This record gives sequence, C-alpha cells and structure tokens, in this order.
Amino acid sequence: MGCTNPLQEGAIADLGPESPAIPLGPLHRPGQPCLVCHDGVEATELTVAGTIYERVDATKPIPDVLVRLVDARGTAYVTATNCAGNFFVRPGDFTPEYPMRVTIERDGFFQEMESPVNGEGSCASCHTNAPGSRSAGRVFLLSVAATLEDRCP
Amino acid sequence: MRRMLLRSLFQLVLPALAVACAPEAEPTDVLLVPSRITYPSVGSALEYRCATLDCHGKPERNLRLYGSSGMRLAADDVPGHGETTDAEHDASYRSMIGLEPEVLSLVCAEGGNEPERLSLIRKARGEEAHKGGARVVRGDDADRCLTSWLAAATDEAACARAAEAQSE
Repeated sequence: MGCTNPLQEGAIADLGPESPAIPLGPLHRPGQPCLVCHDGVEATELTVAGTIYERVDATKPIPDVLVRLVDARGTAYVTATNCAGNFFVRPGDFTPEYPMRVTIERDGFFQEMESPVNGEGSCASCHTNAPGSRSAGRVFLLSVAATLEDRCP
Repeated sequence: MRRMLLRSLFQLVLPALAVACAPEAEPTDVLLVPSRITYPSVGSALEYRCATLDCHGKPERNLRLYGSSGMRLAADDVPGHGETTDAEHDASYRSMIGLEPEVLSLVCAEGGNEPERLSLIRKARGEEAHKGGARVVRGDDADRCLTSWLAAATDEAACARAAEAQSE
C-alpha cells in the first residue's frame, strides 16, 4: 500500500468529472488548474499550462495566442493556445526558473502580466474564473472593443 | 553564560533603543517590533518578490501578505486593480511581526544586529529551505530595505529602488 496525497486527491476531486463531450487530451478541462493532475504521476507532466479567454468576463477561449514565458535566467519560451484556449509546456521543452514573466499576444493585441509568477505553473490556480479578492479572474487578451477572427471549427 | 550576557545586554540596551524600535504593547513585558510607519516602503519592495497570489499571497501561508497585485483584504477588491490599502499594509505588517516575535524583539533591541536569526531573513535569502528560493541577495536593495527596517533605520532609497527593480 503506497502513500497517498490527500490534499492532491481532494483538489482533483474538486475539479469534478470530465466533460463527456471532450475526450481526454489537449482540449480538455479549459480553465482548470492543469498541474493539479499533470505532475508526472497522475498525468503527463507539464511545467506551465493554462487557458486564455477573449475577455475577462467572457467564456470564449481563443486559439493561436502566443504565450511568451521568460524565466529568471532570461530564457524565453513561446508556445500557443489551441482551440480550447489551452496551452501547455512539457518539461523537456522548458522548465522555468522562477520568477517568470508572462506576456500574451495575437493579431496585434497584447497583455503583460503585472506581477511575476513566483512558482505556480497552473494559471488557473490564481486566475480562477470569477474575479475576487484572491483572483484576478480569467487570463484574457482583449481589454478594448475588437473582434478576433474565428479560426476554430 | 551567553544567555546571561544576552539578558544583561538586553537590559542595558533596551532603554536606549526604545525610541528606535517601538514596543508592541504597553507597558512591562514588552516585545519590540520594527516601525509600522515605514512598513509600506518595505511591503512595496517585497510585493512582487513575495506577495504574489502563488506565494505568500495565499491565506494558507504562515506569512500572509496582502497587496494590490496579490491577495486583497477587502472582499470587493480585486488583484491588479487599485493601490495597496492601509488596512492591507497593516495586515501584512501584523503577519511579519507575528512570525517569530521573541527573536524579532531581540534583533530589534540589538539594533538589527544578526538579522539572519529570523527565518524571515534566512528564507528570503534562500539560506534556509524556502519553496520560493532566494528572493533577495544579501546586501542588495531589497535585502538592505528589509534589514534596515529591522534596524529601525529604514533605507527608503533602497526600498524605492527595490520596488522599482521588481517591476522591470
């Protein structure tokens, strides 16, 4: 009988079941804290992952957003969101040394995270869906009136 | 012997430093604490280094820190909006002085000497196990800001530079 991690088990249970409409894989569970499961034991290890939405108050995710991560060594890594708005980084590609700065960009629209990430690889651990005293709300690209081309089926 | 010496030193030095480090409460068995008045400068220097939502901007932490870019105190304030409020500085200050009150009082009574007696300093410098690693380097502006505050001589210029540098 191996040791268990009740905190992690509780956190995974809190995420609820998979959506039956979305298969396990890169499009699943948008907006959830990916690294709760993606620790290399429960699921494929990821170092940084999250979901980007069009607006802070909208649930529409956006694809093709370039996510630029720059860590304490000055090493930069760029990845992009998929049709669920999800992006993820595998340890073989980039394992940041914190603190890490984050910017996002698409079609000339740009956002820079005000504070650095100091150790948490899941965006949604801090950016929960509803803004509140402990969350800045969703990660979003547009803060002005604009329309982005719809590139996903 | 060392303990007796410390106690004697403490008794000798305490009256002289009472002006620099203020007593937390009146009167007799007082614990000395660094200045609340200059704390906002220190808090600003530490905000991005320590008080982000993924570090000490979490209610689960022993050292719970509040700030405009991290955890907010008022239910209707949101990270990333507005300024750090006086109530937030006050709450963070209480966290800082409440970590190791007796050791803090000693450090304070001795004019900030050997601040590394505090886990606050050891962890910030990465000299003790700290999930966030080294957040300041001994002698840099952020370190000077913090240690000068403990010495009741807050180096406001170092604090301002440290606050500015963390935004770059």
